[in-house]
Amino acid sequence: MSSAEALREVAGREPERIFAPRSLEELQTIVAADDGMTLVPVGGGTRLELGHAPDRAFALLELAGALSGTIEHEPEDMTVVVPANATIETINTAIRASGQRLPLDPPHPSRATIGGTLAAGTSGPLRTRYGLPRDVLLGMTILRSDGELVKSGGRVVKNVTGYDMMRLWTGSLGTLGVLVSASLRVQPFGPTVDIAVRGLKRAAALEMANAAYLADCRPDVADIIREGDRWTLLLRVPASLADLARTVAPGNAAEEWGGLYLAARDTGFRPGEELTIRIASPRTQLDAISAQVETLAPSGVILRPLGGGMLATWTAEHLPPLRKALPVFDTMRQSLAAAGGSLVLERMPRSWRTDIDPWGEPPGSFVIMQRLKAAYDARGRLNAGRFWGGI
Amino acid sequence: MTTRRELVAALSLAVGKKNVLYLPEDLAVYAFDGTIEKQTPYAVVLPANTEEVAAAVRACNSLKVPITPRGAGTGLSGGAVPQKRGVVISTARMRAILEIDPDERIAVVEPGLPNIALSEGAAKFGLFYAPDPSSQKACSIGGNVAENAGGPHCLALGVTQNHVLGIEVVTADGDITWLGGRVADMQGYDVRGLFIGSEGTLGIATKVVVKLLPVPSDVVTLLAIFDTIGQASRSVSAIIGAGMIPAAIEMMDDVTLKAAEAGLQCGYPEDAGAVLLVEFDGPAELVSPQAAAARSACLENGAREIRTAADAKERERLWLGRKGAIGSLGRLAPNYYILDGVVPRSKLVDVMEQVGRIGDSFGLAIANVFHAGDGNLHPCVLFDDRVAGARERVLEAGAEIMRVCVDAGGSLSGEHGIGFEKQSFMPWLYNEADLENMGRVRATFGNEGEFNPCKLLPAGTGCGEMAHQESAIRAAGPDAYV
Repeated sequence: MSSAEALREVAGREPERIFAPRSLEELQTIVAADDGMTLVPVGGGTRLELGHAPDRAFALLELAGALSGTIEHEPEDMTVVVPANATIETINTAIRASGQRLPLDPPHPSRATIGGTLAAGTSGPLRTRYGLPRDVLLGMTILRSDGELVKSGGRVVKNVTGYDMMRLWTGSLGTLGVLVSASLRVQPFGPTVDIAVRGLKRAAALEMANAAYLADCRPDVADIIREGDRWTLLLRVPASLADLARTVAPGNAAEEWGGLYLAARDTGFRPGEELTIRIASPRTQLDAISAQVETLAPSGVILRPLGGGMLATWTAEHLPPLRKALPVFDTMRQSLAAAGGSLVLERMPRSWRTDIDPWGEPPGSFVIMQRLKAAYDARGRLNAGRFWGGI
Repeated sequence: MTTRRELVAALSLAVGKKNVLYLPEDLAVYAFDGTIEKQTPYAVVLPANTEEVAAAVRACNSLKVPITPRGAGTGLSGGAVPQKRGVVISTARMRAILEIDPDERIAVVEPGLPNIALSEGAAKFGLFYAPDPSSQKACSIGGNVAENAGGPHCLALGVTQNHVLGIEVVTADGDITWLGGRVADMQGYDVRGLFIGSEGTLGIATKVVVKLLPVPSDVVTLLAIFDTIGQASRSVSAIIGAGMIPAAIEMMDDVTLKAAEAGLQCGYPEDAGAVLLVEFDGPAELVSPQAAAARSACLENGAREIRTAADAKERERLWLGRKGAIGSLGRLAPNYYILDGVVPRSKLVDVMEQVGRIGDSFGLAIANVFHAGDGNLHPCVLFDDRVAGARERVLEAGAEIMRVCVDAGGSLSGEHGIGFEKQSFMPWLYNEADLENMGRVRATFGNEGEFNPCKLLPAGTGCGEMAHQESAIRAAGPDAYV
């Protein structure tokens, strides 16, 4: 599949057309219109494989040219206001001089937009320290499915003024509105050191990551990367704590933001990786869950024990047969369910889509989610069918 | 129409007769929270478990009686005051720690558990629960969830939103459901995040799964003493500007210092214009250089003295003064009205000056104690409620202060919520479409308008005229309509 085709397809289905509005007004008009289609908002187009295909004829809604607006950074407040179509890299470049960064590191930062990252809830290795995208969004303006612009939250770092609509929107895959602008929390990034401990067994690597946390090393990153049949723990700690970290994780200096970090960030989203699963799991179940994943011989695995779970991926030549993968995924989903955990297929071969739900069984609160979708997009104008339970 | 006799009978079926209060003397304490609002409910129920909460909610709904959920009643925005009377559902009897999993570093607790009891229960595992509202000895975890409570140590560690993984709730329509579970990621929409901070308008939390954190290896606490608030505010900016996020940066002004010292003898200088309490935690290698840098930042901005807590005991004494500061204001005036505004850190100096001017123009003393690190102000207006017209003047001054916060690019609440108190200010921040958009959330949890009515969003009908009628309850016999 060429990259041009990949951009056009949404979860294996082709759009009827592409809208590329050149202004906010034009965007509003398109969203408010009634042409019988559902719209798939597209930021950088890095996550178009996520979720179900739209459940009806659809158009891509390219946001790249629709939103203007500058990046307004307040270093002293550690906040930034950005248009939703700004890329992660653009934002970081604009604020770098202050020593601050967005605490978000999704794959493809030069293409991934802040709107898309928040919509898909994409996180990276920095999640270990800084949490999920939802912890970053302070305020927003969205274009609702009826074309109305509505805002919530604000520009301050602590705010309980009204319902937390930002949490509701983040991770909703654009099914509740199109993000127009966002106010975000940024973080000061002091000097850090990357340490790699190689040649570990999985259980030992997991134990070591936890030990580093309990030793109060304050890791920004604590990812475990499978290399061959051994595992490598990548720790990023404040420079002043590097010696302390080495007492529990005796390893060598690794290149900062280097190859190992990039592997941790990008695995599963590189060209040629056809199947990618993300597992949200309690930390103490991770070893057992990971062992189950290994029975399907993935080509790449990242464990993020202090960041909620793991990710595994298969390139075309490693792809397991569907009939073998299905029961393993089902078993894992069942054992994760009690804790509210999940196994999401973030990428999969098109031929699998008829046989497996990328999300899994919706939770008990699904009825509230259905009502939310109905309250904000009753006619299914935005990403109809793509989310959990076909919302 | 329902009579009180019918209401009590229905509630008794739901939770047992002895757990329904309806005598005026029993109801009186449920008419208040931590604000100056009051309104007496027709009845109070004290369920023992999730099923009883659900039964009570359904009983009220079938009789069309308004419901107001209540935790410990320490709230500071009127959230637990039953503005339309009706029934208060209190979680006071549901206060158990159900589980602590030290390996997973989570706890499962009931909503009525006092905040401090959670950290005390986790201490034997070397763990603690991070959000620490100043009322933590009394306030409940369920109330913390409803208000998205913060506290001094939320600067580095985040507010309740950042520490709750799962909530079992009884929704406004009486259904029982889990929002989230034991992991951070959500299956589907983040309804857990939507529920947190919803001020008891969407349902009642009946179980809460929280994250616990390891107790930090070392703590350094500085008390920096200044002649003026301006110097202290500039020091806050300098510390943050140097790329540090301390565990806490708290400020107290001269009025507060005098009251706290008189009441609690915590070693504060009584002649200072302001102090900053700055705390760092972590290994010594990390915090020693940070503390040194913070010390220089304060000195460069005019600190006349900086003390360092020598040990845990001294640190506790410094924090005792901060957490008890508001309470000790009772020494200065019979009543106080605490506000909760947020401004961008960069506007602190300017906004503090304006707050002072508003106090002067109303002839009201204002004590300032606040979370300076995140720009979260708590001006406390001192007054005597027995003086005719005092309350109205205080509310007017409070409104002006909130306006200043909003005009500075801030917001109406950092951690106390909108409640009944500030709903009429919401249009300063949001237009009609924004508010209508938020309001749609209510029905998705089954709230058709009578579940904690008159809270969070500008009021519907029947809210204003019912306020301040505390005597009405005494006249009402068992056959009066509710």
